[in-house]
Amino acid sequence: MATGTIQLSPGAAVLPDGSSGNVQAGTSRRQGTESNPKKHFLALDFDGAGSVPEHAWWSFTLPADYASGGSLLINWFANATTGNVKWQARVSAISPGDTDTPLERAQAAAGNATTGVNATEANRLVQSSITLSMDSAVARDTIFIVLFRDPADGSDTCSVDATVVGATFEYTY
Amino acid sequence: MALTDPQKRKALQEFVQEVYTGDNAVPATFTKDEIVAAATAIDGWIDANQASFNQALPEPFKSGASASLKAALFMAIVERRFRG
Repeated sequence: MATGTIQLSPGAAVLPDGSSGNVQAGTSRRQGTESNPKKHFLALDFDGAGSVPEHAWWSFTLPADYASGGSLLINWFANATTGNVKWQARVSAISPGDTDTPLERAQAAAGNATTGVNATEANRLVQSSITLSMDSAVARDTIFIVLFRDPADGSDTCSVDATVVGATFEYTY
Repeated sequence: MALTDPQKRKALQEFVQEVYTGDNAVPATFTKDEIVAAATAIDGWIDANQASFNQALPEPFKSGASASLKAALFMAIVERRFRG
């Protein structure tokens, strides 16, 4: 048994339309502070002070060697030295010929991970891992995955944006 | 009149945007609950001191200005004191 990975970059995320219940994460282009040439990268900013969840979506085909499992590894940082961020993610899996069309298929229950910001220095990288409920996925299914943060959740105590620089779907093959 | 919970939440958002976001942001060293508790205390302090604030104003401003005008001047003074 080994671990397979699928990269989910901020640039590949699909952001929802902003309607009620479908609020999107912010996007930003970040610039490094090193000497030129400075790194530039896209990031997803999930609000910490608001009152509604913000979302970002990815889709991919589950690899042919998928055997089991499913977790979402999130690399993020926040301009804070105190507080926790509660990440949540939901998955829907659709096989060819399923009764539910891709448009109809609802997501399985949310998995979550609550992780503290780096208390030593603001903006240091933090890693969180969410164990996903995989909606009975099998190899070659079409997978939709949504990552979100609900700033009104009592477990989410960090007051500022949590900035995602990358995420990885991990599975067992 | 004391702020409602949604109004406090809005104040939290504005505070975070103002202080912890952008190029000159300082790191957040307080949780959401700690900031909201401070906002609640400030709100209560305003309630408790409204009368003495009004009493401290000279005429004709005290009798002639509306509550919102007095609040606008109060906010302008706070702004100048802490932002230069």
